[in-house]
Amino acid sequence: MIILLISALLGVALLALEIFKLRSLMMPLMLISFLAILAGTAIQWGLAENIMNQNMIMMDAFALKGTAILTILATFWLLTQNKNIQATGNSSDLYALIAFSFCGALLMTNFTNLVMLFLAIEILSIPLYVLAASKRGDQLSNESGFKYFLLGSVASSILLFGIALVYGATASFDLYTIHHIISTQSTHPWIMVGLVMILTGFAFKISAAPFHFWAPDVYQGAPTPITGWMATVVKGAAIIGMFRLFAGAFEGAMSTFAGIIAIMVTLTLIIANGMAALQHNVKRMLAFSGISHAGFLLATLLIPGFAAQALMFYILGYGIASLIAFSVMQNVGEQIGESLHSFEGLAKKSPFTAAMMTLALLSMAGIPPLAGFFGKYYVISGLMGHYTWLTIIMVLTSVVGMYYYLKVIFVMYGKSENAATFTEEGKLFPILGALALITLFAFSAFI
Amino acid sequence: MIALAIFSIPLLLSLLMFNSRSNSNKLPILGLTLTLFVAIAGKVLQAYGHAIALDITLIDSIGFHFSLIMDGPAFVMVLLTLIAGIGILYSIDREIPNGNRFYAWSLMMIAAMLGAFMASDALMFYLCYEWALIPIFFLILKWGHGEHLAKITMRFFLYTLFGSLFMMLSLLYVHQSMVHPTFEMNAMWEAGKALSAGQQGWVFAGLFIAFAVKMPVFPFHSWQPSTYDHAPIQGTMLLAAIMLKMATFGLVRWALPMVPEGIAEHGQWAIYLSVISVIYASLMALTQKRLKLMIAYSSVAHVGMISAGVLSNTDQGTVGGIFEMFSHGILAVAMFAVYQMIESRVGHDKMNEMGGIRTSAPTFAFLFFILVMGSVALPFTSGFVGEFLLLQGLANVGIGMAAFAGLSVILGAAYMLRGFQKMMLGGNQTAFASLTQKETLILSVSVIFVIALGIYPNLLIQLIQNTI
Repeated sequence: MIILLISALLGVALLALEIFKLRSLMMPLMLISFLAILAGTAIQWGLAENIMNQNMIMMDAFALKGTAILTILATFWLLTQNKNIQATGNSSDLYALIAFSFCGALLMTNFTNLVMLFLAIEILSIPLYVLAASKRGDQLSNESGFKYFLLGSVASSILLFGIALVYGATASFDLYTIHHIISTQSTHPWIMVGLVMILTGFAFKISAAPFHFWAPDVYQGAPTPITGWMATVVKGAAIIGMFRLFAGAFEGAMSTFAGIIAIMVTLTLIIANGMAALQHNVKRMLAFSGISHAGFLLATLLIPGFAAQALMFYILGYGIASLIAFSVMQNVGEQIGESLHSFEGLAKKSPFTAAMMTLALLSMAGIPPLAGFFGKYYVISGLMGHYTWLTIIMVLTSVVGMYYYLKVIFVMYGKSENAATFTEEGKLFPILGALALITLFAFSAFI
Repeated sequence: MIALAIFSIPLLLSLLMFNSRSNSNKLPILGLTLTLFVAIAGKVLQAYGHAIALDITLIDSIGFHFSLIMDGPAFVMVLLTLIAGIGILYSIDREIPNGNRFYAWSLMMIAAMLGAFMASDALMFYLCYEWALIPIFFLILKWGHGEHLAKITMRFFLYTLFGSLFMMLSLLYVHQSMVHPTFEMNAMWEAGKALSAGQQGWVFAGLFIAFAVKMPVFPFHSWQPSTYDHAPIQGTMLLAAIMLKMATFGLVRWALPMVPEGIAEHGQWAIYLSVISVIYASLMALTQKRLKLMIAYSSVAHVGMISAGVLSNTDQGTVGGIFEMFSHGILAVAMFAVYQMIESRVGHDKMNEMGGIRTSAPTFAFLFFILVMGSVALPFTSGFVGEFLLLQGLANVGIGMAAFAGLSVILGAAYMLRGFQKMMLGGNQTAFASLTQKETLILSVSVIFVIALGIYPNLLIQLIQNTI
């Protein structure tokens, strides 16, 4: 509970700082809050009992893990993007919105009630509509915000309709009651319809095919720091919420749904990887690659016994790699451009940045011994023997993924030089990220 | 601890080289020599009952260990890696731009390969197997030459990666069939053997695709000639002499003990492919006009032979396979060194446009001739012992198959001698400066290996059969 309070108060405090003209305190305040949240999870980690609040939220082990991972990602995001956010001139608004959206993200990890779930999703999403459009003069950014808002609200309403149908059939919002009803009684057809609608709403939020069409435009149009936030913390929170809902409430109905989810995963992997291979704009390519990772994330739902470990590890590995990639993307995009040509000869001009980008891309591609490999490993080994055909699709599409990640690496280490004017900045934090990326796998035993 | 030292000396040296400004190959060679001494000393100590294996649990929940062993086959491969590695770095005859990085990547690759050879944990083997790709990727991309370099490197990388992902699927399939999943070698072997023959066949198929791409075996070879051609010559040596041995070694260490029934009942196609590969590559070598491509194709032929012989799953096949891996590794370094010597003096490697080199450089021609004999598998050379044992193993599967594969010896003689004749003998006189001391040393040492192992093969065979 205290964790949620910290994150909610943080947003209000950030707005207050603007009024008192104390902008320089914003970043330290956010950092301290994030660290406090981490400390809070660490303190609760050891406690045996699950702390329940009004049957609405519960800090169980899953919630704590989710909270810790999202907070780590948020901290990394803050460290790598602070400079860019400050440079926009309206950092207080942006930070406050980020803080609110973060509050929603945390709520996604610990709800035990469908109403809380819906609240969490809305708290998470509404600031994002504004954030996506926050580059006011820019047409693409406006398009991004508008598109996200329209499609996002449609998805939310479908989700809400689904929740209503489930309520209609079970007369309860409580996850455990629903779980009990589904697994003991014969399922009411409304539950099935409601479930499909909830699944659709979530598929939209995590940009799984065939509900992914908004993602490339929104990711490309939104300011890069915001894209980084959406691709990591928001996507992570959405899938954690989805996992909690399906593992907590709908476990009994999973056998009916596994087929649909497996088809969605297949579509997502094929479409996203295929499209990403065709892109010339690196940011758009990263957006498509983000969709393909959503396929892997979604696949964790299919692992028998719901392997939360696989999910958490994948989010962390993918999240850190994409934060590095997006922060390099931001620097290059601002100074030269977003097309593939902008990266030409980056290695010669700035070997460090190029090396970090290479590491991040290789991790996303799943090359051992980087964290991305172990992320994929946990998913594939979980599915092996149950969905063997799906693992083969995963492997084949991973090769396509390798192709487009390598394209960027080739260009960076190639002979021609477009990036000659590039000046690198912010050495320390990407290197931390890189270290984290490499060493992550040793800790995977604890997650 | 000694196993760890063998693995980590090259690795630490590699990290050091990344940060040094030194452009000289002295330090890397020194480091590898030290590693070689450590390895030999370790083996001697092991013979006196000193344990040198290492086992550290990394991820308990999935049974992933950082574990290294030094049984006979592993030790022979470690020897090959280090000896060939020293030879490769020593053979550099010109100033390399950004030399420190070149050496750093080479050392890192050697470390990864040492890890793969000594691994007694399937996941560790897989990790090292994949990891070795990244250094060679940068070596080719940064120091290679030719117009379509990026395309060629990409194809090479994606192709081999594509293959090895199937290996991961196979290993995972075996892994998840256990009650308490672990990647430990013996447990993996047992779990593999417990599968039904049909399942084993599929597991083997996944493993073989990975290895077939790496070796390469027809029809997975299409990446190889262009990659060998455009890579820097030392990169080609690393690929041909050591890297592809990870695949043949993988057959011996992982495929044979894990899925024997699968190979026996559903794995015949792999032997057929290997034998086809032998003949196909020999014929291709016969038509090549350039020395480098001829050596590249001859390498495919030899590896196909190793693969076919090993897959016969007989003692002779296994021992012969490892013997031939060692012999071919040494010969590959020497052959590509010969190519480098010719190319740097003549300026090209078109065999038809050369001739009469023997008159101006008799020592070179003599040493080259012995290497050719080794490659052709003439008796009293190391090549003969290996091929003989492999063919003997293959004869257990089918005498026709052995006879068919045996054609490669004849074809090998045809293309090798034809090439030798065109370049070294004949009417037109190509100017050829005599060998430097360094070049003579490289060729003589290789020749000594080829002859010594040919005359007294027991030296190596006893090591291979040492199962500690």
